[in-house]
Amino acid sequence: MPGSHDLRSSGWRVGADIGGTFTDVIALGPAGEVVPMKVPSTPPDYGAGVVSATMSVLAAASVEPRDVVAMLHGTTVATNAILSKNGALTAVVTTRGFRDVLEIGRLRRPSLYDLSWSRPEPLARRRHRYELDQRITSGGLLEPAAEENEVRALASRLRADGIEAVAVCLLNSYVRPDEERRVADLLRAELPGVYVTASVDVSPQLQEYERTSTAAVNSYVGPAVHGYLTRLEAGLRNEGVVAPLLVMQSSGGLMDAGSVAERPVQIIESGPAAGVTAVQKLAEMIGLSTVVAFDMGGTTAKASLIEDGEPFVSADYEVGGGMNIARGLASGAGYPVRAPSIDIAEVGSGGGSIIAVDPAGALHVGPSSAGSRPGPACYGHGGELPTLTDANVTLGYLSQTSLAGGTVTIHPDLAAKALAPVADQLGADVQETARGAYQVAVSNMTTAVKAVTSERGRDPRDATMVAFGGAGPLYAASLARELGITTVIVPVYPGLFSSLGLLVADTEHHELTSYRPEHAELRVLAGEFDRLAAKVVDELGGDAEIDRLVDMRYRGQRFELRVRVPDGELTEELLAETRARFHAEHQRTYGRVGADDLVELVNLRVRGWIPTAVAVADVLDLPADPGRAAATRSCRFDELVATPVIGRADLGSDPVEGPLVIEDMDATTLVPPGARVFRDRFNNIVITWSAP
Amino acid sequence: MIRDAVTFEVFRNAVTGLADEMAITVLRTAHSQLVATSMDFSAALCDREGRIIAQANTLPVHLGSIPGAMDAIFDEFEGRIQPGDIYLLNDPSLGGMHLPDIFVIAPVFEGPTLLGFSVTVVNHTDVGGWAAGSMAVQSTSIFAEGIQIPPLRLLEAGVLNETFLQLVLRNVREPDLLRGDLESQLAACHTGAEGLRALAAKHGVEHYESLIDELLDYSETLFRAALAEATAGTYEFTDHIDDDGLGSGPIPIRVQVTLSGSGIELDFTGSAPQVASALNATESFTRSACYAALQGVIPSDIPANSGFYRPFSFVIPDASILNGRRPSARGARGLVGFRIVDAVLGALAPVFPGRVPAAGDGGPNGIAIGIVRDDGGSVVLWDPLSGAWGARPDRDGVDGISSLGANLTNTPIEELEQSGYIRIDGYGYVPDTGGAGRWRGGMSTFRDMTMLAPEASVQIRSDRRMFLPYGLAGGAPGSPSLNMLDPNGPDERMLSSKPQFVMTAGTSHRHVTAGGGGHGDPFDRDPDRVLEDVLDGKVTHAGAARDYGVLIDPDGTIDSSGTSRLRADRLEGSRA
Repeated sequence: MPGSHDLRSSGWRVGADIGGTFTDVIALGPAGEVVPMKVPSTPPDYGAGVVSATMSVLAAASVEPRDVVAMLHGTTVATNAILSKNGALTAVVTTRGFRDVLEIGRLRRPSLYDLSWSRPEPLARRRHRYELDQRITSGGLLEPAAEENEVRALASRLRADGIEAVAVCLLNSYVRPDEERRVADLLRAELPGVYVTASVDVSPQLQEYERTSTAAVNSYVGPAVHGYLTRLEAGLRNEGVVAPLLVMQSSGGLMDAGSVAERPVQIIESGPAAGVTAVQKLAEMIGLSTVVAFDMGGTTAKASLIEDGEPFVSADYEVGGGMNIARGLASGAGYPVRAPSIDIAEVGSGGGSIIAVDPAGALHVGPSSAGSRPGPACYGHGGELPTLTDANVTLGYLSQTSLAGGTVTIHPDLAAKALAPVADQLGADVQETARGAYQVAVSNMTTAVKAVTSERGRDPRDATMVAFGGAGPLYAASLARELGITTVIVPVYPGLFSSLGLLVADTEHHELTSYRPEHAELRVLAGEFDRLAAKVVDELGGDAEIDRLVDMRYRGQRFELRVRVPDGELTEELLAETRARFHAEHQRTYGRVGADDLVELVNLRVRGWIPTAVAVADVLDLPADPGRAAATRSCRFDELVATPVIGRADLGSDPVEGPLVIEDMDATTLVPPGARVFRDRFNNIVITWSAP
Repeated sequence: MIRDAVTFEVFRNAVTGLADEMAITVLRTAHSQLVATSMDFSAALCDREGRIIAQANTLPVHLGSIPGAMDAIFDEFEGRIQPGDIYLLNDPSLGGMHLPDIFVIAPVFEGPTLLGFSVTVVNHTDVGGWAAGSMAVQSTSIFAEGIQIPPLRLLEAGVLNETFLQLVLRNVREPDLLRGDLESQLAACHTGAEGLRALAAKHGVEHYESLIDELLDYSETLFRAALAEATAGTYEFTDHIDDDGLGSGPIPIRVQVTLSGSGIELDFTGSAPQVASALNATESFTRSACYAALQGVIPSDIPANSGFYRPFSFVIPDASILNGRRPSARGARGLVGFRIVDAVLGALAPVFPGRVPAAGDGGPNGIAIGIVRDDGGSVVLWDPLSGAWGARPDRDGVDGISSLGANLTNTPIEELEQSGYIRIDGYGYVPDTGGAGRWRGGMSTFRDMTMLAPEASVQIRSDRRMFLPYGLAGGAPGSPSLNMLDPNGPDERMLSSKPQFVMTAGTSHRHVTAGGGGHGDPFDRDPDRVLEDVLDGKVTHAGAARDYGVLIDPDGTIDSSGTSRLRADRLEGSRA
C-alpha cells in the first residue's frame, strides 16, 4: 500500500534486532529519548521475545503502545530456516531435461584438497523436482509453450506429495518472464495455501543455476518467514501496537512485512545490514565520505566499505556457506542467492574465538569458537579452552570483575588457567601469549578489511573506521594502526548499534531486469527503465526518490561493476556518460580500462527509497554510566602499563594520550599507547593515530 | 623453526591472503569464459629462489608445476633479471605444460633487491594450431598445436615488446580474449608485487626472508609428521587411460609409492612410453599431480608451498607418457594428470584406508567447439564437463563435482545458448551409474546439445570408457563415459572417447561422464539408503535388486523379507 510505511511522521519508533543469543530492542522518542534493552532470544519462537521486550521498553519509557509509529525489525528467521534445515517441503518445476540443474550447481568446492567434503543438501530433493514439456529458446520463442493440462496434472502430484512450497524456474525464462509467471499462476490457482515463487520475480537474470537457487531459497524460507511475520504482527496488535512492521533487507533498506513475505530472499542478511546502515547514517551526519565499518561480536568480525556515503552492494552471495571472505574463489559452500546485499567480508574472529597451538608450533586464533555456551573460560560457565575474551581479561583490557553492566561475572584466574597450556607450548608467559593472540586476531581481521578495500582498488588509508559490536571497540584502534587508518570512531551504544541502524534506515525497494537485445534501441531502453520505476513507485508511493543503475562489464567478463545512470532523459550522450563512469570505475578497481566497444550492459536496475525523518543525532545522547571500581588497571601492551579506566562521560573534547580504557555499559574501548582520543560533540569516542 | 609464533602467524596470513587476492584479480578481470566462469587458472607467490611461498585457492594440477616454470626462467634470465620485466612462457620443454597454459611471471624488486616473483598461469581459450581450442587429442606434433613461447620478455624493464605481442595475437583464434586474459594476468602480478613489497617493508628484507624459510619449514614439518604416521613400505598400483585417440592403447600408468620414515618416493617405471597423440605430460605436471594426490590424503590445512614438496623424490622415465620428449604433442595432457592422481590414490588406499576414496569420473572432460564466422573470425566455445567423486570410506561419493586435480565449473547453459550457436537439450544425472557399494559412488551426468550453427568442428577429450573408475573394499566400479551422435534418433551412433568430428545444423550429440566407484560391499549398504536413492531416481528398482540386493515395493517401501532372502542367496552363492 503506497505510503503506508511513511517514516516521516513523528512519534515513537522501536527497533528490534534478533541475534542468536540476544535480542536487542531500542526505542526512540520524538524528542530524541532513547531506551535500550538487551534480552535473551527466545528460540524457536523469536517473535515472542520481540513482543515482550518491546512491551518492557515501552513500559520503561511510559509510552502507550498505540503511540508507536513504526516497528522496525532485523531478523535471522530466513537464515535460520536454512541453517537448521527446517524450511518448507519444497518442489522445483522446470523445463524437460533440466531437473538436476539445482543439485549439480557449478561443480566447484570451497576447499581444494578436502576429500571428505560433501555438498550441502539441495533445498528441493530430486524426487521433488519436476519437469514440464515446454521450452523457451534463447531468442524467446516458445517451442512449445507449457500445456495447461500438464500443469494441472502436475499440481495434483504436488498436492499428493504434500509439497508446501514451489519454485518455478524454466530455462531461459529471463527472456520470457510471462511464460514462467503463467505456469506459476496456474499452480497458485490449483494449490491454495502453497507458497509459489516464479524465478523471474526474484531474479530476472541469465544463468539458470543461480536463478533456480534464488527461487528455491525464496520458496524454502517463504512459509517460515510469512508465518513468523504474521505471528509477530498479531502478537504486537494484541498488545496494542498497531504501527506498520518493516523489515531490514540485505541491501540496507527497510521493506514492509507484506512485501517481505513475497520476497523473503531479500532479508537473508538482515542483521548485518542494519549495522552498516547505522554507520552510513552516522557518516552522513559527521560528514565522512569513506568509511570502513568494523563489527566484531562473539564469533566473527565483519568489515564493509562505505564510499561517497553509500555502502557497496553486491548482486549475489551464498547463504549457509559459512564465512565469505574468499568471495568468488571459495564458492560452492552454500546456496547462491541473487539479491542485492551489502557487501560484507567476514572472518572467524570474535570474543569467543579459541586460541590454540598446532604441533609445528604455530599460533592459531579461531575460526572455532566457544560460542555462548560454555563461552570464554573467564565467564565461569565451564569453558576450559582459552578464547580472545580470556586473553583480553588477562591483558587487563577488560574489567577484572564484570561485564555488560554487571550481568556477566568475570573470573580472571580462570582466564589465566585456560591460557597456561598454550603458553607452555609456546614457551612464553601467559600475558605474552595473550598479547600474541590479540595480535594474531588483529592480523586475521585485516584480511576482512582488505577484502572490501584493497581488493577493490581502494586504499584503506583513505577511510575512517567506525567500530561497533561487543568486541569491535577493543580491537579497532590496533586494527586501524595495522592498516594505516588514522581515525577510529566508536559511537554510543556500540554493542547495540545494529538495532540503532533499524531506527535510522530508509525505506527502499529494488527492481531489475536483464539486458536484452531489444534494449539496444534507446526508446525501448528508456521504456524499460520507466516500467521498473513504475513498479518501484507502486511499492513505495509517488514521492519515492529514484536512481537508475546499470551493471556493466567488458565482453567476456564474469563480474560486473555497477554504475549510476546520470539523471535526465535517456539519450545517447547520457549512455556515453554512463559508459565513461564504468571505465572510470574499472580503472579505479582494477587499474586498467578496456575498449569502449567491449562494454556490455548486463542488468538494468532501479532503486527507489524514501528517506527517513530520523537523524542519527537523535540517538547519540550520552547513555547512563554504570560507574567503575578502579581508576587504573595494569594493562599489558609491549610492556605492562598502569592504564586509566574511565567512562565515556569522563572523556573530554581535548585529545589525551593513550593508553586508556573506556568502559561503556555494552562494550569496552581500548586506546593503545601512542594513540590520542577525545569525545566529539555527538558523544563519539574518536581515536587518532599520527600517520605512520 | 618458528622463532616468534605471533609474527609467523601474521606473515602466514598475509601471504596466503595475498595469493588469493591475485587470483581474485584474475577472476574479476578475465575476458574469457574459460577463465572467468570455469576458473581454469592459478596464482602463486615465489621467493627470489623460485620457491613457492603461497598459492591461491585455484587449480591443484597447475600449482605444483610452478617450480618447473621458475627453473626455466632462471636458466634463461639468471643474472639479467631486472625491475619491470615480465616473463612469458608456454613451451612444454622449457618450463611449460601444454601450449594453452601461458605462465606470466613478474620479478618483484625493492630497489635493487629481488624479493620474489608473482606467478599466474591461465589456460587461454585458444593459442592457434590446427584445432579450435588448441587442446585436440589428435595432434601428433607440438608444431600442430599452436604458438610456442619459450621463456621471453613481454616487458623489458617496463617497456612492452609490441612486436612479440602482435605476433602472438595474430596466431590465435580469439585475439581479444587472449589479450584480455593476458592483461588480467598482468594485473594480478601487479597485485602480488605490491603485496610482497609491503611485506618486505614491514618486516625488513632479512626478516622477511627468514619468515619465508620458517613457513616452508613449517609445511615440511607438518607433512613429514603426517607421513611418519603411515606404515612404511612400497605400494604399487596401475591405472590406465583407454587409448591415445589414434587407435592405440591401453596406456598404463604404473606407480610404486615408497614410504620410508618421513619421506615419499614415487617411481613411475613401467608406465607407458610417450604416445603419438597429444596426451604426453611434462615432468613438472606429473610432479604436480602427485602433490595434489598427497594433499588429498593428508590433513588439508598444511599450507601448500615448496616446503611441502621437500619430502618427495621421483623416478619419472624420460620419453614416457609422463614426460614426453620434444616435439611430442601435449595439448590433452590434462587427462594424464587426472589418471596419475587416480593411480597414486589407488596405491595409497591400503596406507590410508580411512581417507582414500574410490576413483571419480577421471576428468574433467573437455568439449571444444570451433566455428568460423562469415567474416572470417573464429569462435571457440568450451564446455568442460565433470561428473562425480568416488565413494569415501565413510560416506557416499559426491554427485556433480569437479575432480581432485581440478576445480572447474561448468558453463552456464543460458550463456552457451546466448551465443546462438548451440542449444542444450538436457543436463542431469543418469540413474544406476554410481558404482555400487556400501557407500555409493557419484553419478554420471549427461549433456545433450544440438548444433544451430551451419557447421562446427567438435573435439572431445574423454576417457574411462574401458578402464572404469575403480571401486575399493569390494565396491563396484563406476559406469563408463559415452559420446553419441543423434541420441534416440534414427542416426544414433556411438563415437569414440576422444573424437574429432564435424557437426552441421540440426545434429545432436550426447556426452555422458563416467560414474564414481563404490566403496565397500554393496550388499552391506543400509537398505534405507538404497530406498532413498530409488525414491530420488538415482537408482532404479531393478538396480536396487541387482546391485544392492534390496527389493523396493511399487508403493515405495522396502520389502524386508524379500531383501533378506536376496542378500542371503548371494551369500549362499558366494560360499558355493
